[in-house]
Amino acid sequence: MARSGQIGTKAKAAKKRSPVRAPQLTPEQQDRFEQSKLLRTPRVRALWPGLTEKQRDLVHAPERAAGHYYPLTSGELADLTGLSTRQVQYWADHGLLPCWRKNGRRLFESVGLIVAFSLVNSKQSERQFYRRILTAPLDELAAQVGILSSVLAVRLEDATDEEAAALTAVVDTLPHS
Amino acid sequence: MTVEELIAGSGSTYLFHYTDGLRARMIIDLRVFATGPSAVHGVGVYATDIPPEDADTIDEVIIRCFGGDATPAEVDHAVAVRVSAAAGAFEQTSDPDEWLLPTGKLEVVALDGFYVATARFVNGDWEIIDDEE
Repeated sequence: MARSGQIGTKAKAAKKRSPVRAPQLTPEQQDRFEQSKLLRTPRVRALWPGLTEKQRDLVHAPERAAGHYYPLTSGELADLTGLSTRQVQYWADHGLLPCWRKNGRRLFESVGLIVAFSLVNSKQSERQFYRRILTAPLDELAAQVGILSSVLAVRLEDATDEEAAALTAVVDTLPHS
Repeated sequence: MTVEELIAGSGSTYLFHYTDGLRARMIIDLRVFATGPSAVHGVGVYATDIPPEDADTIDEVIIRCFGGDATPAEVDHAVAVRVSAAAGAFEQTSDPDEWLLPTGKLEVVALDGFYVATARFVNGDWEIIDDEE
């Protein structure tokens, strides 16, 4: 790999000035930028290792199957993943599949494709579990979360520091006031 | 501009800002970079002298630039920038692989004069998808 150990001198000698500020982003650009931020969250990062090699290649290059780069429509995301269009719309409307909207259409970036592949890879029973969580009354959900927390606490007793950190990092991304 | 030219000038002439496709295309379309609220070595545009050389580059960037805390989807585009331009210059941080163009926080920064080209990792290799010409 090409390297240069002396390059810092030239850069440090250069006159230090701030670059010119550009105009603010449009609402559409901001919507898309939010999708890029989601890509960097621990809960999405945790999904990447579960993707197959083929799925990872499609995340890098969706045009190999969809014919163009991001964003993808609901139908295109369905075609790429094997989910039905209705499933895609359902998960998107319930906030599980990240998307942004343009003229009422749901549009998906790479983070949406990663989450969609993860849903495809999950067992049907797991998807039913997620669907229940999305639709259950909050008081019922509180009880389920309580049980889940107790079970996770037991698992953490035997976890390595690295495993525990990975698990709690995902939990810590939950918004709370 | 070719990938080979970028590799040959890495560090001395060119640096590389690795990012996801969405942010890369924002830079391509608008020639701007959105800075974050804070960072270890200060706020600004971060880049590295690790060039987009082969399939191992992504792993190398994730480990050496992000401490392992990123996925390949976040770094499958390499935006090549000049080390210095009329508006300022990248400075090497205390991290041997890391360079920083200092700016204010949460700014949209124009990259006029810095921008050179963008390479994308696809089909196991890097290819130029845009350049300044």
